[in-house]
Parts: sequence; structure tokens; C-alpha cells
Amino acid sequence: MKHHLLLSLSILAVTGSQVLAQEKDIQPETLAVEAQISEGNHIYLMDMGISGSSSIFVLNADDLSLEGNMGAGTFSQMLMSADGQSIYTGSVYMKRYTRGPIEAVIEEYDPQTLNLRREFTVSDKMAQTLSQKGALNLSADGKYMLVQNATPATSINVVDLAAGKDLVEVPTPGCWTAYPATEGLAFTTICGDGSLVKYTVGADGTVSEPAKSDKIFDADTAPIFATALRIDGKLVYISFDGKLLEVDDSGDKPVLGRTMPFATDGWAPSGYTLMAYHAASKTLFVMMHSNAADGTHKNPAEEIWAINMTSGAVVGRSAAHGETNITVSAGDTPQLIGVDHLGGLHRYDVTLGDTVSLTESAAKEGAAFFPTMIATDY
Amino acid sequence: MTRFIDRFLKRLDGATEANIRSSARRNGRRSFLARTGMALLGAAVSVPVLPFDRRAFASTEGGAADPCSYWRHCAIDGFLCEDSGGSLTSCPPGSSVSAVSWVGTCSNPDDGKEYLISYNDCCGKPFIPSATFCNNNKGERPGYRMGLYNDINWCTANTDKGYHCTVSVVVGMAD
Repeated sequence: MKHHLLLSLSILAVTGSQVLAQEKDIQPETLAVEAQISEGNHIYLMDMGISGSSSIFVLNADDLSLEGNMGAGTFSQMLMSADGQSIYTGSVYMKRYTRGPIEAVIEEYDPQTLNLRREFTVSDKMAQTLSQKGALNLSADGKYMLVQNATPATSINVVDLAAGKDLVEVPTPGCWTAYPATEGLAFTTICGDGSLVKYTVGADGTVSEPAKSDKIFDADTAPIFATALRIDGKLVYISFDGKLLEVDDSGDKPVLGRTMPFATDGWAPSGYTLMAYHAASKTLFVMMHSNAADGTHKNPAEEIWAINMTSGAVVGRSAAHGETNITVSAGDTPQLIGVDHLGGLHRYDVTLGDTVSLTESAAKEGAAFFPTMIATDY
Repeated sequence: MTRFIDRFLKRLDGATEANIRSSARRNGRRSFLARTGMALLGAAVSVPVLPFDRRAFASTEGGAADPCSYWRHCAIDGFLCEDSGGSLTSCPPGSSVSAVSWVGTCSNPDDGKEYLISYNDCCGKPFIPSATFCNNNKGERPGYRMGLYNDINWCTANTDKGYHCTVSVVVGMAD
């Protein structure tokens, strides 16, 4: 029926175009599909679906205009590969949208054409959780994917990308996230007893005994956020009360190195993807709120602080616009991109130096409904 | 409190997958509780997902007109079932109660006592966009304390896994 309708419409369109062309001597327009997004810089914004599809909006970084999108299932994760040549999603498709059997699907998109390159199913234990950095990652060599499972019992699904199928499920009870090691097939997860645990996986699917760190945080009194960043070879976590915890995960087990307290006067970190790192200037950006108390750790940002990761010192505090997720572009003249709790997008120009400041240079309301993660291709 | 948790865990055992059950058996329920960080409440579930947002009440946050400020919503994260065809303690018609849930500890201003609140998701239908969305996080923790985590779809252990709305049910005293 659909084909018949299309055929009919096509015939009508052709006939109509010919008539118009003859009568008015005009060139009929050609229907086409845009081949790809524009040249230049872009922002990729995840709008997570909780009752239907998720969407990654692609916006021109210069004027914040929309250039297209990519689709995924419900509760989608988003991951841009290190070379920027692929966008991966991990999400759940419910056969009847809100009920019935489910499929957990990994999809790979071309970030320029926005075409789907491939897809494959993985274990349907995939966590249906808010998009976050620790829930979907690639191994150091890019050959394996680490997928957070939650039924709600937690495990990590190690997926062979080339084969497009699960390699092994690593049970990680009481632990959350999987951040890949910089070498080999290994990952570190955060556990509720205050430790970090490292697992190493063989290409044949064998899994090492868990290598547990000493206790590095207290989940009751000074919990850490699940979001961590890789900075100068170390994993950097951040606590609710405003400390950076630098962890060396290169050895047999994770080892806590520097602890850098930076919050003062009742200010504390907050948000979801609440940190972003600019490697060239060694500057870490953190979303902050005032009058911190129990339950304020997801508050929208009132300020964004800049921390020099060599000294651990706060080198800038700039006004924010209620952001809940941020990222920062690379290069010598970075831009910080944030999305606020009402879905508005904000672009800041970053002034680097002994002090670091942010100046909002563009904004767009209503960029997303349930915004979560952001990535850039510049 | 202990009986309460055991009762909920019994329901959890019946509702979730084999590996959860085997993990609980292998490690003992106390150990399982400790590792998951707290009580994974069986029975009905809840825990919506969603970013910070109190759209309709952003300008009156904390005021009497803000339904999100009701004391037992101190750690809720989701659309209110009372705006979705249900009530504070009931799921809307035709939906199902989540098989697992998470808990918060909220203070009742009327008697000054701390209560355990089970935030159960109702499942199997689309959310209602016009319903009030609340995002409160008292005592909330990331997924390494799963029983306190509110950024996950707690309908995940149900046959029908679609997130619909969330209720706030008093299930015991915190002490």
C-alpha cells in the first residue's frame, strides 16, 4: 500500500511538474537527500528518550543551527570514537515501544553523513540508565566495547566489535561504570564499599580475579560521582564535596595518587557529565553550585570553575546558565559547550592564560527535551 | 526494618533474573545488601531517569504550590503518578508496578520522624508529558549503591519495561 501510494504520488508529481514546466517554462525542482553535514565544527547533543527513541542532534557550532540527527532506542548511551570517525550508541528497543520483548542494540553512525554503518544486538541486560560516560566505552585498541549491564544486578558486557557479538559478561556486583585501561583489555569500576576494582580480560574471554584498590572514598559521607575522565594517563574522579581523586590504574590494581580539594565556601560540584578537560592547557572545567547540601549534587550549574591540573589550583570562576552537562572542544582556542536543565544549549569562548574565563558567545533555547551527553568534532 | 527488607528481597528474588538470585544466594542476603549499598526493594519499583527539571514549578521551587516539595518526594526522580491517572501510592489503570525499586529516607515535618520511602515506577505505558516531573536527590547515590540510585529505569525487571510514572510509598520507619 505504501509503495502504491508513493508510486501514485510520483506519477502525479512528474505529471504536475511537466505541466507546470510547459505552462510556465520553469525548471522542475529536484528532490534530493543532503549528502552530509556542512564542513566545519559541530556539536553532537544526546536527547535521551525514556518512552521511545533517543536522538542525537547535530548542530553547527558557529550558529547552533540544526543540521540533522541520528536515532537510537530508549535510554541511549553515546560514544564518539577517539578519531572522531564514528558515533556509537547503545540502547534498548522495546518491541511495542513501552512493553513487550526488548533488544539491546549497538549502532555505529558516520558522524558526517549521519548514515548508519552497522548495528548488532548484545545482551539485553544492558543498563537502561541515563546516558553517562561510564556506561559505554571502547578498549584501548578500539577492538572491544565495554557495556554497563543492570538487571538491576550489575555486570560489564565485553563486546567483540569486529565479530559484533558478546565476548564475556563480567559480574561486578555492587559496582558501577567501566573505564578502560590505557593498555590491553582491562577496565576499572567503582564499588559501593569505597574501592575501585580492576578486571583484565583475555581475548578468549577469560577474566582475571578482581584487583581491588584500598578504600579511596566513603559512599556514605563523601561519595564520588560516577563520571570520571582520563587526564595525563590517570583516571580522575570527583567527590560530592569537591575533591579530585587521581587514580593510577596502570598496575595490577588501582592506586590513589593525588587528592586535590578545590571547593570552598559552601560550593560543590553538581550535574551529570559535570567535568570536561582541555588537554592542551591542562585545564579541567567543573560545574558548581552554592549552598551545597545533601541532595544538591545534581543541581544545575551556577558557575563553571577552571582548575589547572598541574597545580590543582582553581584558576577561574565563570557564571553559568543552569547547565547539567558540559564538554569542551580541543585545539588552542577551545569552546565549552553546555546544555541546561531545560534543554537550552550554551556555547562559551574560553580565554586561556594564568587565569581562565568563559564568555557566552551563543545560545539556543529548546535544543533538546531530555539532554544528556554532548560531544564535538573539533 | 530487617523484616521489611527481607520481605522486599523475597519479592526481588522472585522477580529478577537468575544471576541476581544466584548472587544473593552465593553471598548471603546481608552481603548482597551491603554490596548493593542498601535495600533493593522488591514489589513495585521505581526510579525514573531524567535530568534535572521542574519545568512548571521552577519559579516557585520549595513553595506550597510545588508538588515536588511534598516531604515524601525528597528523593523522587520522575513524573508523578498522581498526575498520570494514579495517586501518590497507586499506579494508573492498566500499568504494572515495577518488580524492584529504590528507597529514600525522608523527614515528615508533621512529626519530625524519618520514614523509608519506596519510589516505585509504574510500567508498560508511555509517560504523560503534562504530568509534573520532579527531581529530588536527598541521599541519592550513583549506581554503585544501586538501592539509592534514581537515574535508572526501575521497570527493567518487569515484563513490560517502559517507564510510565513514579509513586512514593511509605514502607517503614528509618530507625
